Amino acid sequence: MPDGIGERTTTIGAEIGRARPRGEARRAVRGEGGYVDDHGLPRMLHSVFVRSPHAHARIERIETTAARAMPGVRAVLTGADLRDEIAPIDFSTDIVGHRVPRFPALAEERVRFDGDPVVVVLAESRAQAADAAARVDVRYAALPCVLGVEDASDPSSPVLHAELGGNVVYDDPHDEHVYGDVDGGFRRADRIVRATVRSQRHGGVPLEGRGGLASFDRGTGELRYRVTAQSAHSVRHQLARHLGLDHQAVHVVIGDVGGAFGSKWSISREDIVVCAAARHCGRPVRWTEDRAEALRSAGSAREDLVRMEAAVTAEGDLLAVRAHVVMNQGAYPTAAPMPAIADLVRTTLPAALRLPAFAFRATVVASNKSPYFTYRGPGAVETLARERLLDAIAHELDLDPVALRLRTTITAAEQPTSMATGATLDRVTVRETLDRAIERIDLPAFRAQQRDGWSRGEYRGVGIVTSLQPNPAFADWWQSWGSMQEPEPVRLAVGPDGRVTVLISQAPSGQGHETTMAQICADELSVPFDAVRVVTGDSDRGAFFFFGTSGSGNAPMTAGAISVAARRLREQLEQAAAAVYGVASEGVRLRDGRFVLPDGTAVPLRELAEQVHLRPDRSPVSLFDLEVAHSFRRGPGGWWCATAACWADVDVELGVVRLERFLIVHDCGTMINPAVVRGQLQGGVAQGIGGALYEEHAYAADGRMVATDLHDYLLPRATEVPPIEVVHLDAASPVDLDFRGVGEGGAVIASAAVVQAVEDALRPFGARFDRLPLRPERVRAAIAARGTVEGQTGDEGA
Amino acid sequence: MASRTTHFACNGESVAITVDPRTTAAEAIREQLGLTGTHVACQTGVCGTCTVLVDGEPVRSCLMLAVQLDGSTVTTVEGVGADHADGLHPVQRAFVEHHSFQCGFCAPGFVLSTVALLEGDEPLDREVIRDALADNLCRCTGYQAIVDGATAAAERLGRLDPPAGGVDA
Repeated sequence: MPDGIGERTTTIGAEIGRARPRGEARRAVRGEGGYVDDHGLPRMLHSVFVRSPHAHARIERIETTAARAMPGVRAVLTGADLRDEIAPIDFSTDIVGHRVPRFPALAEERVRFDGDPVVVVLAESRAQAADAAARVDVRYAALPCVLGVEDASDPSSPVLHAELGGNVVYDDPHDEHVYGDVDGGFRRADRIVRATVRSQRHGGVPLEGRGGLASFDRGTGELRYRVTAQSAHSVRHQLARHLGLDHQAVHVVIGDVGGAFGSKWSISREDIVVCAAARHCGRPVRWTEDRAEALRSAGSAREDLVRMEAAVTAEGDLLAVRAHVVMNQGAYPTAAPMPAIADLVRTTLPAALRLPAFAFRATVVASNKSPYFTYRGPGAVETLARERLLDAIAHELDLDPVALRLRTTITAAEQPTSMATGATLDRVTVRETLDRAIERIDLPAFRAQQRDGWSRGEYRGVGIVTSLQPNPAFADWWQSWGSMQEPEPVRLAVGPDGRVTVLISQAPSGQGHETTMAQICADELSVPFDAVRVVTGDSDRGAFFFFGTSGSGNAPMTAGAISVAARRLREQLEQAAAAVYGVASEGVRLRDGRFVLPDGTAVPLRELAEQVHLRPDRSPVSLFDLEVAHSFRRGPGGWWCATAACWADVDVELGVVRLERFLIVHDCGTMINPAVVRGQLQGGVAQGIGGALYEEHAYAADGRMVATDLHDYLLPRATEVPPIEVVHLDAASPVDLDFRGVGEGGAVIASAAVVQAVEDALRPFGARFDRLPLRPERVRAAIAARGTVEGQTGDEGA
Repeated sequence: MASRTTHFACNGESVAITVDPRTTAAEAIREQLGLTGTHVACQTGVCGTCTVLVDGEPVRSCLMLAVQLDGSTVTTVEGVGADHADGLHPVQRAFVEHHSFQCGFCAPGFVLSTVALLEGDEPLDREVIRDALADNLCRCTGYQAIVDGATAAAERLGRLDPPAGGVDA
């Protein structure tokens, strides 16, 4: 039975909606956080990986003798050495048409990308391990490599995984998903508008790289792995099955995580190797990747090509859209299946458009690049593609881009309705966010200033785009995506001191769960905020939950789970108090941590908890009456709805884009902590800006990674990110448990706004862009071309 | 190479460490002094995450050798709030109040860079503060909350007049 149907219940406290400073902040600013590399163990060995310098090569020989003889070295392990200890990596799925190779954790016969791990060296210090790693002699015979999506789609391209017979690892088995009368739409169209979008390979790039600390107890046969990751249970699951251990013999602990953004959702091959090495050596093993390793091998995302055509009327109404996305998986699959990411694009691209017919096709190709790890809003190219298509329509029909969006976005009066793909659209407020944004912008004044600037050689532009994210949407969206939303487990327990522990199976990386989830519990249970402790990231404390901290799921799912569990616990506690104090249970109320009894006396929850735990012989109830476990299934949800506006100033001589201002107007239902919501959106927007203007996992034509440090992989700084104003449409929803996710939306929506703003600034030059990022050389070329720059560089995107 | 012994003061205590000469200051502070609040993120001096104060000046400890600390006075994030009520320097307090961090990994570097800026004598305005904060990278916040926190701390320390109309939007 789903939870959360009906009107919002009145919460008792005042925590929900309060911009309370985060409980985690004190340890953050005092350097007292516990990140993975802050931990060590006695007799710990340090590991360093030897990685392929080639994009694609056959391994002819691995010589480790010299390395083994180096000071402090305790082991030098190859794939062959660990063959009996690690099962081939298997991320196969039941998705029809998805072709998944099995491959060794350490490359054995062949390397498939620059950074592919080949050997692990274990030594008494990291420096000794690194010295020895430099002495490992791997002989390679280079093979031709394939890098870009178009090259990899070519059947004659060099095949990465022979058993797959080609590099196309997923081609939609339906050939094309068709919704509505697409062909009819194209027949009736006044105009057919085509657009292409290419987003470059980039990704989460958290400041804390990957790493882990593994220890294996030979006495009990138990593996303990402290790791920086997004789901303790997913890591445990993958470790157990690849290392041949019982689930219950694997304990995964995730402490403070120094950023993740999706990039730490899948287990890495190195995690499995480090744990196997700890078992092999009988000593704890620490792994801390350096920045070059992170950029070469920690994965990258967003290398997507989308080709679209739209059937439109002369006025700009949409009759049908066809889209084909091609995604570049890189060399190996991860635990996050690429077809599911492509399906995110399919099921969100039509968004809140009034669009009667839609056809979609997805292709995924393998290439000699680092694997595609998920990145904040994995299907983000849907918003970029849709908004670029609308921009192309506006351009070809000579319509104002904002007027086109006002014309094509559904209104409140039309709801409930459904997306072309079948998902329910109800309480969608994209139109309201657009109206609110327009109110704040004063476009006529901006247009006048813009034209004035041209005479002075000043080129400024504004971009206004919208997005709709399924965080959490409704059940039929999940159905259209291909999988139902995983129910989320939570446990609440009152301890002997009357304090409440909230055990969740999330592994946050800065979202503030310890604060926001305690706010929920405090209000719903009616106890003081300080009486609640939220426990995360421990496979032995939180119940099994594969998904972890992912998909903007914390607000819609975890907060919902805690709300329902806390309401139940409150009833249970009131009944327990009635039994203990010998009064009628209807008359007992828990308020702010105290039971108010029928005669008006107040008894602290602590007193009851003490008696139940410490004098169970005198207690008519047991400690299990002070606990609740609940698996939360979402009832009706809602969509995260937003409009973003970006102001850009382009130096047409240098090609440099400077962003002046950014505005995001959004609706996330009921806010738990407005400061956290604002921070999530601002941080997401900054990443979207990085993707639009700066960031790229760039490869040379021979497949070597070019951007191996942060001098070359450019992250936006305080001077590149403009002030970001966040406007909440409403602070609270009338619907119960209407907490919608905000983690991904900012990152998803920002890039499209930036590109439109730059094109708007360059309107006098007619510059158009179909490829990101908009670095100075690309901007100058677009200005020089006085037209589109499609296909001006090779497919490698370097 | 032979190990070398280096003497310096760290967070008010005199310390002596014996290191392989290639050991960076960041490694020595983390591994030998056990002060793990100094985080390392890029190893090439780009991100400022590993910033510590050496004789009051902000230094990227990933680019400095431990032996270069000899005779100096080092302040790490663990020590910067020691003389203040509740163990929080006004910069740390403002950062807590303004949600200036999310994952917290960059926080120690931002704290020390900002302390150095505010305890220096460069004339400040909001533009100068934003420019100065561009010495460090944050991947989570989009910087607005850090700019807000640093600005509030500057006002509290009398280094900046409160705004006539609203904070830096």
